[in-house]
Amino acid sequence: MPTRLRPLHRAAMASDPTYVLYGGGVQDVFVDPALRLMDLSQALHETLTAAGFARVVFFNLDTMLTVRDASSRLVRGTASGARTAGRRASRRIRGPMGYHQVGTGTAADEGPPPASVPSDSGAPGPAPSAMTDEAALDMITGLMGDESVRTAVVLENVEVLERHLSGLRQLAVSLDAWLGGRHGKGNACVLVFVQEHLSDVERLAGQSRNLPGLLGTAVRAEKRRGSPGLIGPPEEAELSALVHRARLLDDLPIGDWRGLTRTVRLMARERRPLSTWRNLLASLSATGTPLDAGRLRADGHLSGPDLGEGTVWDRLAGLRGLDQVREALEALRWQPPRGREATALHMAFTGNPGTGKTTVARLVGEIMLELGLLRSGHVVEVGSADLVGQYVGETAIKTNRVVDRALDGVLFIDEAYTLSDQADGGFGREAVATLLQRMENDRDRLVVIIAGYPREIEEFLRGNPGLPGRFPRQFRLEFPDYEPPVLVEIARAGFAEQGLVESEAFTAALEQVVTRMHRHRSATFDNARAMRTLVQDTGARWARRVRDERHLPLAVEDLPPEHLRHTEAPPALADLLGPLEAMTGLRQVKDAVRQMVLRLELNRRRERGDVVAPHMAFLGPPGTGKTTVAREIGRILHRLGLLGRGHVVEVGRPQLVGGYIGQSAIRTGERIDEAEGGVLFIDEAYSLAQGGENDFGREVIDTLVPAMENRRGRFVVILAGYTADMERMMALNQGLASRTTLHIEFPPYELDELTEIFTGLAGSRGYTLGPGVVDRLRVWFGAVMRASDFGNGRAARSLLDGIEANLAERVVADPALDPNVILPEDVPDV
Amino acid sequence: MSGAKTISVDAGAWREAQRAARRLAEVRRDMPKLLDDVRRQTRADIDRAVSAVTTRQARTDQRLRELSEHTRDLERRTSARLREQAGRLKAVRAETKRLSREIDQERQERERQFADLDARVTDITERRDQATRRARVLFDDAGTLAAAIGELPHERFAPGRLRRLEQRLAQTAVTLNEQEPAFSLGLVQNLYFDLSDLRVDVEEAALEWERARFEALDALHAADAVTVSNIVVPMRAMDGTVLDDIDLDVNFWTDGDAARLLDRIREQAGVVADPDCPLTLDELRAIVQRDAPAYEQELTDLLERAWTRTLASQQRANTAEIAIAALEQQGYELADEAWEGEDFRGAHYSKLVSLTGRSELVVEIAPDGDAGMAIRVLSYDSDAAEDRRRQRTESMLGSLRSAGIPAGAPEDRGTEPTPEEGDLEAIRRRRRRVG
Repeated sequence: MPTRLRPLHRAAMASDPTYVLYGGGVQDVFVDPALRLMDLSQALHETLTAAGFARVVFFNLDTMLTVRDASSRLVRGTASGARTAGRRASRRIRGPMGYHQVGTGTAADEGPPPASVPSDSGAPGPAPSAMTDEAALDMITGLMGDESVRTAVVLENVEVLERHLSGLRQLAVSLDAWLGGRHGKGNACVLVFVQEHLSDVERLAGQSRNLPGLLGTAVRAEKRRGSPGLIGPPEEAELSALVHRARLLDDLPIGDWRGLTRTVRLMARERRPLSTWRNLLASLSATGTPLDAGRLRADGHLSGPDLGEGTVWDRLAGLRGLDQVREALEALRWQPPRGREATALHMAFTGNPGTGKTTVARLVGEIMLELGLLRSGHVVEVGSADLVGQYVGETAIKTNRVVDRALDGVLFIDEAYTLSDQADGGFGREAVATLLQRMENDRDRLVVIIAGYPREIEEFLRGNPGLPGRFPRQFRLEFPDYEPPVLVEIARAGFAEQGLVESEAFTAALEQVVTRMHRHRSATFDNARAMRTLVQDTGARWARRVRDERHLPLAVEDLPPEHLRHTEAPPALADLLGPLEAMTGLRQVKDAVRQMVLRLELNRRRERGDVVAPHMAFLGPPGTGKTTVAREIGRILHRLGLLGRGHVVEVGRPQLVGGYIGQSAIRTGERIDEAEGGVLFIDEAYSLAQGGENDFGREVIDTLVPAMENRRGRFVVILAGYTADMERMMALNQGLASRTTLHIEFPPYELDELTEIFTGLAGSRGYTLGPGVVDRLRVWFGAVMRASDFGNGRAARSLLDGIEANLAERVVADPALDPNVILPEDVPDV
Repeated sequence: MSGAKTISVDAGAWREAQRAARRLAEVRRDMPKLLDDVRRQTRADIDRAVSAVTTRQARTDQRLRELSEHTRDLERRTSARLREQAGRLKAVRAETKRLSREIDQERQERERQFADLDARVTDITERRDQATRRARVLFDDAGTLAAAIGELPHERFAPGRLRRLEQRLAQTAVTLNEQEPAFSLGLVQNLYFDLSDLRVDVEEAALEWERARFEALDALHAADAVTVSNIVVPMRAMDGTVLDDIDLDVNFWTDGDAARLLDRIREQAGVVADPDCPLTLDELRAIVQRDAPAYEQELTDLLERAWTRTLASQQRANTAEIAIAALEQQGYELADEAWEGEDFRGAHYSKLVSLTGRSELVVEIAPDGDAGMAIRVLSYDSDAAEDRRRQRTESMLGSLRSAGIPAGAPEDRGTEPTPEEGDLEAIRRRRRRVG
């Protein structure tokens, strides 16, 4: 039997009363492993006979009823078979001249009749002797009720039957009785539809006037079984049989024997009907043109991506930087024995764009094919737009169609989480529900791979209760960004492809640039695609520079300046630290920052170790300039090329902690993304750890810690708070402590420093201090400093605010006074 | 409508088959063995005929030794010529004519010399006695010759002539006694010459008759051989290619007419082969010119009939096949099939049982004349629904028509079929219906 009917064969062993057949392949021709070409009827006959039906009856409007029992199986691949009654050279009635045909001019004794082949249009010409409707229906009813011979009745092209068959009512009644199990157990009704998808069949069943019960039951059973009735385009094995058939019968020349398997696989990927390939091979045979992939591609018969060289396992082993992925996929080879229930092999690929997820998805398809877990292994790539419809009901249809297309292969859904984004008003949820159902029902014929950014995928899985269980842990595969050497390789391959020659200096600079890009990559760094952009930009600049002298090699200056800047010598230390040095006080802080900068520079010079901006803890009371210093640090690290942007995202507990489970993680994640390339400044960080075990603050820390590790170098976390509180928190959260490598103490300001700060602040607002004001300030600061809630730098600001209020009162009372001079009486009392 | 329907089939549809039958029915005559047989037979016939003639001539010659030396010479030469002619029995007619002419010329010359000699004797009157003696000797020779002719089949080939000459001989005897014999010499000479001419005429006519008998026999032998060699011929397809391992028994397919034809040919040959056969020369010639071609035509007709009937029988088998296929599409299965009396010349019967087991059909395809056929469908239904039957028949007719068999509209017999009509075992045992 042809491989395409194996699912039906398996299903038919289950002795269900109804089966449906649909899909593009219904009107195709088939080749079985014995290289026999046959039409659907014969293929069905073979399949159903093999499934234990002793009698198979075909019913359609052309010939009405054709019976094929096991003993009348056709020999030598005559597919026309019993359908053409007229001139078939049968050998049953012997006359005086043996089995000679009189009047036709052909002698039956001159060897076997030529194997006739059904035309592509399906029926081999209508036989004129159609059984009458009543006789046929009567016959069907009789056969279905007959328990002595296990019978399968195949109703071909059901929608036409439904429309044009008279006397259906009697059939409907008897079929309903039969379905009700009153008699004819073990017999089956096989309904053949020309519809492409089960959803179309379902709609037809819904509109059926005469057979709603039968059709409805059949569709429901099909849904439950997992689409064994979907007849798609031919798979590799069947196409291979077709090629060999053409080779043996029509002398089709084979261009490249070693590449034949690959050629056939590429042909299978095209998902065209077998009849199309048959015609193509016939024309090749006729003209003596050899079959090879190159020619097929040149003639436009192959359009998909080419397959790599070597076995799928070689190619898997050749995957670079994807150890986890490789191990997980290699483990597929050594599966435990399959139980009765097929295990789901759905996968989630998480990672940035350009990390080879699509490539691996194709590889997964081939691996599954190789291991016999899938019969086709093709990959259907879709986005949410391909699944979600515009109006009610369209989504299920669209999704089902996509799944039908992917059946026996891999359905690759990129950015799957966009489905849940549409929860409000959109039909994303419906798509997910439909998908879930098909993933369960068709789990032995379908592998779904969802792909996208890690956090979004996690969220997507969490957001749909049915989903996590469908994607086993071992198949949630992370695709890390490519390491710099791989990226450099990709970039250099890109230059080589354009025929551009690299000078030695250029190569070195390229490595630096790529390393830096990698280090400063954002969460959405698109890896290989970024390299492609780099290659394009560089190429364009080279072209503008060399103009006609295109023999010149690539030079350093061809690299885009925004990348190039970072390869230049670092700015002078004084220049770098100037603004910080200009701040009042903070000696300890300035020293710590200075040391950090020097150490980073040293590491860079030695070219040893990872030169990465560390996460920090700012310990000290409020108002000691921590935020200001954080901004400076952001700027400095950016100028050192250690942070992409150097901005500061300032948050506190309210911005991070949510009201319900999961929300805190989301909020935190969002803030982390916001801080990409800069600084995430968490003020009063200790408050996150204060709520105890059940506090959502823990969720923040649990989200934060892995991000600090995984995105190290791409953003800097600064935890700020009172020294004692912070130390308590660090002690309780080792994960946090170990990742916060730089602790900077912010001691309270001295009296002089506070005065200086105030002076600076006032000056910045255009005030001058009148005589005696400083003394008065010192008294004021001296008094408030002792309070436990003293705000340090902030106290200076609030003091200035108070002074401004007094000044204003004074000036209103006497407009002649200078409004820019602060007098001692403006300083409030303690 | 009832459960038995007869469907006529347009006999014109068999035109192609009949053309083929005519083509196939061409008499075979080019076989080396046939030619050899005929040639050998002919040689034997000639030998027998020649030896019969030679024996008779030898007997005559024996008689003629009693002739006087004088006349013996004349008759001896004639005899030699006649023997030569007999040896050439199978020669073409022109040849025998020439020989006959030569005999005439030579005899005229001899007679003239003979007469001259006697005239000279007459002139010498002093030798009258000698003339008298010549007349008496010649008279005796005439008597001897008449006696010799009497033993030849003169009454058959020259009826009455010898009797008249014998009367003249008797008168001459009287004359010789009454007057001087020397004066009767001319009379005696004329009598002798007439007798001698009669002898030649009888001998020649006998030879001619023998020749005609031989030719008739020859024609009958040929007809015999051709008939024998065409009585069983290799079976051929419509296009003339030989179908292996099957023969066409012409005698069987003509219900024994071929054997009867052969009997008639052999009977006639037996008559002709008898040397005393009573047939006249004209009758013998009519055998060659009329009877033998008629036999051949008859054989051709028989062959054509055999082929026609064979093809028609084969067509019944083919038609049964098509009818079965058509009914299989209606949900029937072939249960049994038989030729009436297990004879291909008869009707063919197929029994089909519906898959549901609720109805049974018997399809009879009977010969109609030599070339045509008549189809009859007998239905044995548990529900006997007339509609269903009509549809079934129509469907089968559709199949037949699409296969090039222009079946006519069904005619209803009006009665239900009896179980015996559908009993294939009984049909197998039944003798073929005549006609």
